[in-house]
Amino acid sequence: MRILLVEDDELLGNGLKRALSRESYLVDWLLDGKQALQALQTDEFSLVILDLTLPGMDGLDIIKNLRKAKNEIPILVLTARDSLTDKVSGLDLGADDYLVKPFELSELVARIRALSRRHYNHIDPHIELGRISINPNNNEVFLEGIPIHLSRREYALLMEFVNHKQQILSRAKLETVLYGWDEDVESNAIEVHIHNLRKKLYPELIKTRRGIGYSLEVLS
Amino acid sequence: MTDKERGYSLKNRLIKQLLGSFVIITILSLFGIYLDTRHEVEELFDASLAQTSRVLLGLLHPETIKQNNDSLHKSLDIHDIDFDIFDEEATPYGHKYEKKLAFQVWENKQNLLLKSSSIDIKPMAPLNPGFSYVTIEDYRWRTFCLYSEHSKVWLIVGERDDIRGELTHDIAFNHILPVIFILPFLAGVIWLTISKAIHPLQSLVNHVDKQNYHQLESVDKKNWPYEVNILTRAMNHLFQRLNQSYQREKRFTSDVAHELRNPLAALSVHNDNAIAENNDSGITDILVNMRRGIGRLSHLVAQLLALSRADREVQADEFSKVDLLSICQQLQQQFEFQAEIKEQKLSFQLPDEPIEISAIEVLLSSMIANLIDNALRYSPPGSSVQVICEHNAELTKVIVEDSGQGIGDELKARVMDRFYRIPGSRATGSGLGLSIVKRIAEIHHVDLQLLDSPDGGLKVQLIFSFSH
Repeated sequence: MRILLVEDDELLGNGLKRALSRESYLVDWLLDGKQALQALQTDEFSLVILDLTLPGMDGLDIIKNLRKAKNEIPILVLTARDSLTDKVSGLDLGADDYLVKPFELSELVARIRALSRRHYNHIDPHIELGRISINPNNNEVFLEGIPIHLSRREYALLMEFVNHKQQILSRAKLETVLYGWDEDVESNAIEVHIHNLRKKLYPELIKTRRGIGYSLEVLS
Repeated sequence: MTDKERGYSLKNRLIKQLLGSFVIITILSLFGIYLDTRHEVEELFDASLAQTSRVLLGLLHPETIKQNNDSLHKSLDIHDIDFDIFDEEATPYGHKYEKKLAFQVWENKQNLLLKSSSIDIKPMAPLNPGFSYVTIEDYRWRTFCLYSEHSKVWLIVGERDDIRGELTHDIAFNHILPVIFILPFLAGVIWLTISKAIHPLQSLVNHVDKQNYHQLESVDKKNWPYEVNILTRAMNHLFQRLNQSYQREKRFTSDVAHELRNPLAALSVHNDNAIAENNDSGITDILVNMRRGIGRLSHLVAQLLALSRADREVQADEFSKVDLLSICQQLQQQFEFQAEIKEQKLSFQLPDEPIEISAIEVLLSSMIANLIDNALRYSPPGSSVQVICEHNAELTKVIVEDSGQGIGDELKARVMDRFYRIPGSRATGSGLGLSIVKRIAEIHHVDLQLLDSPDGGLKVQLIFSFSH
C-alpha cells in the first residue's frame, strides 16, 4: 500500500516514514502543501496522511481541492490543531479521520488499517482468498492455516493485488506502488517478487497477462 | 461602603460652598448698605430737624406764648386722643408718630415757656447749641438745640431715634427680602447645574462597573466635557493595554501547548521506532520508560490546553443545544482504545433518547472525557469503569464510577486544586483533570459531587440543573 505522508516537521516526518515502512507500507513524504496536491493529482496513492499547517498550501485547502476533483483517496488528518472548529471543518470538507498530535503510533497504524479496510470494503479485517488468509492487523499470511513468511515488499505486492482483485496491474504501476519515487528499481524487480510470491504461496495465484501486466486468480 | 470609603460628595460640597459664600457675601453687602442708608437717613433727618427748629425759633416770641398760653397748651395736648383705635398711623386727629416728636421752649434756661405734650417738664437735652443724643424714658432721642439772641429763648427740638431706624430698617429689609426669596431658587439652579455637570462621571462609573475583566470595552466618545474626556481617554488607553496583555496571557498557554505538540509527536514516533527495531532487552526497558515519560508529557500538554480553553470568561452566546447522548457515544468510541491497553472494562449505560441540554459542546465533552480518563488512569489493569447517563423530567445525571483506590474524604476537596496529585499515586496524571472538570462544571452550573462507589472506588456525579 502506497501512502503519501504530508508533514512539514522534518523530525516527525522522518520518524513516521520509518515507522510506516516497518509496517510494510510504501511511504512517500512531502513537506510542502502545493507539491502534495500536485502529487495526489498525478500519482496514485492508497491513502494520504495530511498535516493541516503546511507551507505552500493549507491542509484544509488540499482536502477541498481533492474532493472537488472527485478524488476519493482516504485522508487521515494528523495535526496539532485540535479545536472543534478545525475538527469539524476538516471532516466536513471530506477528511476521513482525524488524529491529534501527539499520538500513539499503534493508534495511527490501527486507523490506517481501518481506513483502508473501509475504503476497499473489507468489513472483516481478516481477508480470505481461497486457500490463503491474511490478517492485516499484524501482516500475517497463512496458506491453508500455515503461516508463511513474506518479505515487506512481497506482502505489499500481495496486498496491492488483494485491494484490486478484478484488475490487471501493469508492471509500471506495481513499481510505483512498491518503490515510490525514492528508490532506483532494478529492471526485473517486480518479476523477482512475483516469482517469490508464487513460490511461497502457490503458482496459480498470480496470472501473467502478456504485454499488459498481472492479475490475481483466486482458486476456491 | 463605609462613609470613609465613600468619601465626600462633590455635589454637596459644591452646593454648600457656593451657597455659603453667596450668603456670606450677601450679608456683608447688606450690612454695608444698612450702615450707608442709616448714615444718609440721619443726615437728612438732622438737616430737617435743624431747619424746622430755625423756622420755629424765628416765629417764637415769649410774649405771644404767654398771651396764648392756654390755647397753645390745649392745642398741643394730645393725651386725650386714643390713636390705638385706628388701624392707620395717620388718623383724622393726628398721627401716631406725634408722640415720637417733641420740643421745648425755655426762657433763661429755667422757665419752660412751651412744650409738646409728649415730653416732660425737665430739659430734654443740655441747653447747649447743636445736636446731641439723649435718653428719655428708655428711648434714644436725637435733639437739636438753638438759642435766639433776639428773643432770649432756647428751643430744643427732638425726634425719637426709632423713627429713623424704622426707615433704615425698611430700606435694608427691602433689600434682604428678594435675596431670601432668591436663595432657594439659586440653590436649585446650582444643584441642577452641578448634577448635569457631573452626570458624565456617573455614566462613566456605570460603564466601568459593567466591564468584564477579560474583555474591557473602551468608552464611546460622547458629548462630554473636556475634564471627563481626558479621564475617558486615559481609561481607554489603559483598557486597551489590559486587553492586549490579557490576550497575550491567554494565548501563551495555548501557544506553548501547541508548539510542544510537534516535537512531542516526533519524539514519541522515534521512541516507538527505537522500541520496535531494537533487540537488546536492556535498552528496550530504557526505551519503554522513555515512552512513559513522553506519554506523561503529552497528557500534561493536552490538559494544559484543555484548561486554557475552559479557564476563561464564557459568553452566553457560546451555549447551544447539545445532545449529551451523542457526546457520550463519541466518548465511548474514543476511550475504547485506552481501556483496551490496560485490559479494563469500560461500559456505558445510556438512555435511548437524545438528551438536549444547553452547554458549550467542546467543554462538556472535555469534562466527561476527563472523568473517564481519570477513572481509567487511576484504576488498576483489569478493573472496570462504568459511565451512566440518567435522564428524567426532573434532572439529568452523568455518573462515572471506577473500582480503583477511591479518594479519602479529607482529600476530596484538595484533588480539585490545580496540579495537586495525591501523594504516592503512581499513575501518570497531570494533576489538572479534576480542576478542569470543576471549572467546566462551574461554567455550566453543574453540581459536581465526589462520592465513594460501593466497591471502594471513586464515583463522580454530575447533576445538571435546568434552571440555567
